[in-house]
Amino acid sequence: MKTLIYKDWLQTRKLYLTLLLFSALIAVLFLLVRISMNCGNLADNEEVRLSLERNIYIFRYIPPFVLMLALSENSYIIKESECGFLRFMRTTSVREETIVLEKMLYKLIILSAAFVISVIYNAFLCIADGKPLTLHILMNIASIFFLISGLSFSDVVMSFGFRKNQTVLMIKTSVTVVLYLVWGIFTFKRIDELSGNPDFDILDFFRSEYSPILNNAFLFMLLFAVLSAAAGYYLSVRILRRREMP
Amino acid sequence: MNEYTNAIEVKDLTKKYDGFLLDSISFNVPEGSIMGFIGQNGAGKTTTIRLLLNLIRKDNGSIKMFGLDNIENEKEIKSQISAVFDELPFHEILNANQLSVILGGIFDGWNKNTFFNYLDRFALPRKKRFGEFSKGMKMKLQIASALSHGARLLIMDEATTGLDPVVRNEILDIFLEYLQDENNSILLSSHITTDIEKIADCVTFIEKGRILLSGNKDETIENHGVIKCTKAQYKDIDPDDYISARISDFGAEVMVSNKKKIAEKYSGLTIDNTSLEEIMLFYVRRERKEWK
Repeated sequence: MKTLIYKDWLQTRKLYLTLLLFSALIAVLFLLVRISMNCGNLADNEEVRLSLERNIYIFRYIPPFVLMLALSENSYIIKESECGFLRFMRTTSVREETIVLEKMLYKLIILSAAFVISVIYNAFLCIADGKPLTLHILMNIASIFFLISGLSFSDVVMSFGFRKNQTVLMIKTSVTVVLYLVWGIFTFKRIDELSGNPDFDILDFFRSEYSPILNNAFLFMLLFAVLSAAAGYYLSVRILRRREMP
Repeated sequence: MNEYTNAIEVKDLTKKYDGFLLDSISFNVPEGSIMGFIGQNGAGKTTTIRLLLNLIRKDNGSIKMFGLDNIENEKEIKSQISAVFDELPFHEILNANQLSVILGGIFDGWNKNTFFNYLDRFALPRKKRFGEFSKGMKMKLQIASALSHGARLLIMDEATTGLDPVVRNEILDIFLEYLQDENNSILLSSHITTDIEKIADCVTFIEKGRILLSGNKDETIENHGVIKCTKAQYKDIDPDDYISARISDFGAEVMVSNKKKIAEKYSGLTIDNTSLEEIMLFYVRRERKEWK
């Protein structure tokens, strides 16, 4: 299994290095904006300053993007099926369970790496703002992590068998889009509401009295990830055993 | 001492697709031999190979490899075989060094020294990405990897198709070396009959999902022959005595499957030796009996 993970890494390493550089670039950009707000004419103009203060929090949405980008490697697994590697594996004595488990494990490793990047990135933002990295922020990022992990595990099933089944693919894509939209709309709505409050602190957004759903979301997403992993594993092994390799 | 004598035993194997039927085929690949599996494109060679490897499900029949059922003992069998397809199954961004590490984790018996020896022999670069390899290089790479983990049976699906004669010869020589170990066997599917004629011990000829011939290659070629005669002489030959006949303005060429018997029956006619390619050609047209 180790060497299969090594193979996946060789295939996708460029993507993840890009992801890392992307996060670093955004962090630098944030730092530059923050510095520019505190110097010269910009700092004296209260209106501009407030506008920037409000809009700068868009940077907080980078972690979900980082996590979502980590999903992009799914196309490599589909490629694997197309280039015949999956068929080759079926001609060896490697068990189907190992093939599926390796794919899931690799996804988990990559998503965990993206999670760590997201936390470091957020910690950086908090330090730059002089505010603490609270448990609520971490739980929020973890919720997104579990959501994307769950979707990622269902992608494994897609890549092993349902790739050409347009209906299933359409349903899966719709569910993904709806989940992202619900999360996105809710978040932006809350920020808009809270931004109208003169005492508003962006970190309040993550506090339970403002966003109980987000806190419950942590448990919900965790459950979703665990169930997706179990169902994904069972279905993928079943599909791989039964699927005819053209 | 092994209890089996055939590396592969196929009996009454059936697989039905929309528009194609692999119709209850049976054949054996004796251990220590190379079996040429010949037939036109679409004859059922690839379907048979995929059934052997359990990549597709059979509708009926049985397949035994090393005396074991290919489904019940799938993993045990697959640890002792290597399959080579006409397309490289490895990612184009990889190179040979990386592949060696990957295959080392997949195959218990992986021998990296053997692999690198084959690479050197084939003059394949170790650090070049497979995407930059030519078709011949890709095939050599597949064969090098197939021969580097101690497999006792090689199953090749059109492995020499599309390669130039020099590369093909090089690969065929490697196969002959591999067979020096009498425990090793090869099933080589191809529609290039000259390759089969050069190296095979046995031959199985499949056409439209049915086995037309299966047996020792030399005997098959020896038993068949072509009568070259005039049209008048051709008319005197009993249609039951020949496979099919090619008629031209100058006369007729008639393929017979029992040269000795026919020579006795038609003593005035000369029967020339034939080749696998000609046998295939005349068998394919056997339903029309007479063709131009």
